[in-house]
Amino acid sequence: MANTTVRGALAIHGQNPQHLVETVIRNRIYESPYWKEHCFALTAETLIDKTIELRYIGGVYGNQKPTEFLCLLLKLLQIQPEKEILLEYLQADEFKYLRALAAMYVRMTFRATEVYELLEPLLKDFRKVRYRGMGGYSLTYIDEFVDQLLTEERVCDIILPRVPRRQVLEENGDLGPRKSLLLNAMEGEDDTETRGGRGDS
Amino acid sequence: RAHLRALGQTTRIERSTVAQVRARIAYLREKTKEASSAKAFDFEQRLAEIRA
Amino acid sequence: KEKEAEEPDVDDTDGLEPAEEFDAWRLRELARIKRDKEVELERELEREEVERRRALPEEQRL
Repeated sequence: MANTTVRGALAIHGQNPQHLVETVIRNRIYESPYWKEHCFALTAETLIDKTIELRYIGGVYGNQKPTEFLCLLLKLLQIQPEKEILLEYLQADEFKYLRALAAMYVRMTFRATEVYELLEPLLKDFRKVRYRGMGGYSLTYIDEFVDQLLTEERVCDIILPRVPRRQVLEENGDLGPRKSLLLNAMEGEDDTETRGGRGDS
Repeated sequence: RAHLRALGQTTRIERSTVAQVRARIAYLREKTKEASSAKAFDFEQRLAEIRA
Repeated sequence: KEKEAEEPDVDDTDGLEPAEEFDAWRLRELARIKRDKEVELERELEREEVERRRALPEEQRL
């Protein structure tokens, strides 16, 4: 079937991008009705329509069924759109599930410095996102999801490629210090020891 | 695959351009505008309130 | 064939209670800042410990 990676695709982290999704899950996706019926022949353009219809993110659920989110993620890995297209996805403010999908893809395929530079600004996006996992649905937020992408090894049942910790990149001079909007706002109010402590109760 | 070829379709997927993607997003944005107008929430203003 | 109950029982509608939603974010952001600071501090302490041990004469180090 049409499960091959697009011709001319660049290897990501030294391998076929689709292999960033481990074999067992990948095969589940190829076999899923959603993949066969809705993901066939999607382009970077038509994929947007599918993504904004998403009602939840997540990895696998129930009897190891892949979410539509995961199917579309694999589709992105397969068609490997240009970087500029991913930036458009991220910036399309009103479509939170498109943003979530793009964030995940960026985390999996972009250079470490870009990962931080592109994803950290999304930590201020507190919109609600539904998560579907083995235990049913739960509520998360874009900022929380992005934080997971930045700090955890496994998100939505996908093992994320290793990315150096922020501090390491900072020490090498590859990355400037993180700017928290909240921190800035608080420091505007009072420049002394307010970091972290205030309003924590 | 073979049956698609027989129908004269290629199995090679066209690549979208950034311009197409942008246009699609703009179109969908218009379409969903009414639905999302409730979300007109001023983040900057909230931050300013913290400062105050 | 398996038609499962697809209806999510969790509401993801934004802006229902804007003030609360912002406030919840603020607490999450604070927790992250605090966590990151703690991690940084721990690394700092570790580094100092390594330095200190390096400074010791050979016999004491072992």
